[in-house]
Amino acid sequence: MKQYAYYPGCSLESLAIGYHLSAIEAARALGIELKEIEDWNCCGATAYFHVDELLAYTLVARNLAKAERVGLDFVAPCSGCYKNAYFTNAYLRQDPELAEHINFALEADNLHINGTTRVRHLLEVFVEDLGFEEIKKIVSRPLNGLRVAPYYGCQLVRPRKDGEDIENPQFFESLLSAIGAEPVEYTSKTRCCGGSLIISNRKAALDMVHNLLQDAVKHEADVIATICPMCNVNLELYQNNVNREYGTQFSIPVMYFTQLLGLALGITPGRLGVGKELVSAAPMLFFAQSMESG
Amino acid sequence: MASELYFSKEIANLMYATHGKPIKNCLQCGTCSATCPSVEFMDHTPRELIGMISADLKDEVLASNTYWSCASCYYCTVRCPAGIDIADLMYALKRYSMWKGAYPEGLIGPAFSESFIKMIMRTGRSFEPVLAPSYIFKYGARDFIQEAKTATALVMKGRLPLLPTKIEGLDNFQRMVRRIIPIGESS
Repeated sequence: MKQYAYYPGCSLESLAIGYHLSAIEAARALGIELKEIEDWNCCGATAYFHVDELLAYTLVARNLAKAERVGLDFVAPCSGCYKNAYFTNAYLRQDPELAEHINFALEADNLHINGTTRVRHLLEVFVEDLGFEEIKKIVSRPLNGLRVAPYYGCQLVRPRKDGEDIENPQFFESLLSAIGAEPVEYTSKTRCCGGSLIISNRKAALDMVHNLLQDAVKHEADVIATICPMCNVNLELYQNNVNREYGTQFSIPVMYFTQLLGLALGITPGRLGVGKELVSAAPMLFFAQSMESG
Repeated sequence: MASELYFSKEIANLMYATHGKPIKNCLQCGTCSATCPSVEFMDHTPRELIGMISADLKDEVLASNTYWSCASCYYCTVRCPAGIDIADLMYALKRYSMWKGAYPEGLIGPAFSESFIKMIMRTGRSFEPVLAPSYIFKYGARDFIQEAKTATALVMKGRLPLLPTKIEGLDNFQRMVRRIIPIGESS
């Protein structure tokens, strides 16, 4: 089994527990072991960077140093954690003075970092290290005909890391096709959900959620698939707020890509944390089951 | 005579550590403003704000809600033809306004960031139930009730633990933090 240093991040222990469960299960079914980094701390989300940059980098580096020590790729299922880890790692590798500062602090926790770990998003691991053909081979219950809106959000693709397509990425669509689903084309797939503003600027955040839901529904999506707990929470838990604010009646299930992947791999819904949604995914599940029996 | 440090220079210095081009490269093309998903909630567009910094309009910039309305989506950053990391500029301005304690009244952002960080310093982890409720009151009774309903449903679904978690190596963690921000050794 291929191993990775898994950094779940804070929300996967609470609001996004379904993501955590399904990530572990789907990975295992695909021959991947996600080994949780011991005693990890919060990556700081956006807040650390509002206050002190060096502190922000140090807190992220503590988790990276632990992955470096075990010699495994650092894998984050949350796009925010991923972006913070990716750039902290890159910056301290490029900037010896920054690395020195950070290492002076890390010493107090008996840690050291060189920036040699590869930082990955969970979706990247499935897409790049396994590949679509490999996944397709293992799919036992393809989600035939299910219309899924792939929602990339922001920080998986932005800022640009390597040479990836930031305006119209396609790998999420390809993954959905590999599990038999029909990826929905809609222009908002890389627009922001307003996640970091949901507490501090509610009006702006709800406007962004509204635009996204409207676009996905207009293109007849049965379900929105997410790759980030913040996006998922925003699109799912705030549908009621949007409906009240805009007089709409959205009730579209929002699921983690690992839950859809897990279903296609034949894992039972309960083990994937399916059923913990507040916007019921039951219609979608009936569909998946009827495909299976039919 | 000591030379005066202009506001635009101060911001340029703050941006030094970021990895984009300096804001003096700005063409005032407005791609950032046209791209921003939050722009209609800002009192100055990102393009205007950059112009204001270049013109050293410090008081006006500090009175603006623009950077506190930034969602950190990085669309402006990747599309800027002059290669300026505009989202990082917004972060730099947030830090600057927090150091100065200068931001428009009624903004939730600064207080929220501060309480978030205090929580991390205490426990090493983030915990939503401590964070959200204190701000929900600002949205009025209907939103508060909606929020309470959602929270109750989340508890029932096992998605909202009632007790925060703590990291185990908290002592070393806090010692590490004190090497960055020397707030003195606690006994």
